[in-house]
Amino acid sequence: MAAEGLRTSAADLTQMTSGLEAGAEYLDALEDAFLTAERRAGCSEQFYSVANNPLRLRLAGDALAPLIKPPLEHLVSSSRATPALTICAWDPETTGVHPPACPWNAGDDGDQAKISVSNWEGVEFALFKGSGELNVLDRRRKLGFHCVSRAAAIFSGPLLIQLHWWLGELGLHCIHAGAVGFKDGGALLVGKGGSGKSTSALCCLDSNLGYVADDHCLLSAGPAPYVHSLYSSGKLTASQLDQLSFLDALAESPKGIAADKTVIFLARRARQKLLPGFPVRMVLVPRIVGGLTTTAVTISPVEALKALAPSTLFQLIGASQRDFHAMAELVKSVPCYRLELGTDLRAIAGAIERLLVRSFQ
Amino acid sequence: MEIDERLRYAINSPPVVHESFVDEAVIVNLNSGAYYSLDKCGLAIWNLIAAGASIGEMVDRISGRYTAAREDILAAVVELISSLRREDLIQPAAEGNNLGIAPDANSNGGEKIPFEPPRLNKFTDVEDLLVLDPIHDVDAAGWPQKGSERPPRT
Repeated sequence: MAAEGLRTSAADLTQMTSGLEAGAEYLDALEDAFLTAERRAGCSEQFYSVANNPLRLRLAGDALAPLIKPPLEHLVSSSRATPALTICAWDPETTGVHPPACPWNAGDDGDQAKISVSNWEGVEFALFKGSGELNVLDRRRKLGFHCVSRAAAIFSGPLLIQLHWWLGELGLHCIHAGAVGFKDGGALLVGKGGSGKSTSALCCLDSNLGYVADDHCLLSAGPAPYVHSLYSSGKLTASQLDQLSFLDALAESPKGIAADKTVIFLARRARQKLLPGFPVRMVLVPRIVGGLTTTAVTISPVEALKALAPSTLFQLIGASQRDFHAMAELVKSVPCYRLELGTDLRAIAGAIERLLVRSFQ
Repeated sequence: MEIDERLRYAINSPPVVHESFVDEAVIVNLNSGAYYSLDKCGLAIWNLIAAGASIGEMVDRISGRYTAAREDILAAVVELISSLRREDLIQPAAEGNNLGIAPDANSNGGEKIPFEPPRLNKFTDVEDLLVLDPIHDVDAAGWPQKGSERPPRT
């Protein structure tokens, strides 16, 4: 540790150097673990373009492929351009390879503990002690590592932590929002779970509007905010399936995922509805009010920020002032409305479409 | 109780992030899962804290904008600082940490307006989304020691 004041003692320097070496050793061991998993279980790789940034995914074994690949299918790229990041992913059960021991003392805080490190020498680290899920990003080597059991894998928004760490530095912010509209401009739907955000986005699959996201997308802030597609999948609740019957044709229960989970993979079932992104014309904060029709009421940027920012920031590891500022810039630069959702769900898309058309006039 | 008006505070960033709008500040504590808002007078005090103003400097600046006795404004500033500290949003700053107070952009057109004590509004409706509270975030000492070299957790 640094001595009192600004002076650093020789002993401190030795300890910090030792820390650097320990970090390098750990990263080497992590890479070795992945290479061992690849040798044992076989490997596959896929290239993607994430908001025009080339990403390579290397998988050891085939257990994680059905969980990670389908939501990213719409971003698959035929280009083998030098990737800006390579993410190496494996699961310990089928490969028989566990990551090296956590270099940080996890203590005895129980299964819910998390150990995280933010941007130490360009490295991000997060370990969930209970599930064993490990995420590491090494910016200097342009490498990411993701080790997770099949049971703990997130099938609708995979690699979110890695993508947030990587793309945040490029001015692309992972935000908790749906996005629907036209290629020339669309609306962000923001709010915590249960607010009607996902339902509103899913309603638009049966309308003239294109679909960018129902839960997470990438925001490029600034004077001309733009949203990019991240995932083309979504979780469906029983209630949504009951109320939006057209979703039946799109829904599937993917192999290897718990039987009670229903998802949609739009790249497979409704690719024509997908948009890669659009300029953001407005922010909508859905609220279920119970009337018949859906109406829009102008709200302040602060009200929109309260709906968007906390639910985004609390879901990300390593969220920062930079992410918060990007969201504040967004709500200051476009009109914000509360979308008071009526009981006629099929009318929601029409209400959004009318707002967008009016914004172009 | 006598108040030391030379005391200064600093925003506890990270984990606190904040944004100021025309008449409201929004503050998020990334560690606790709570977020907050401050109204116009609270916003002014928050910006003064961020600028490195002492309690005395804050009171003087607020007194120039609002119609109230100085001691009433002092009491309100101290009360707000107490609330902000209770929520771990600010911490005492070293003496002489004055970063320079920006020109007074909210001078109400030169006319004083009635003073209302600032209120810190707290929201906890999405704290369940917090991705597990960290048990250990590495500090400036950086990458940790190996096994037996690790210090005991406190």
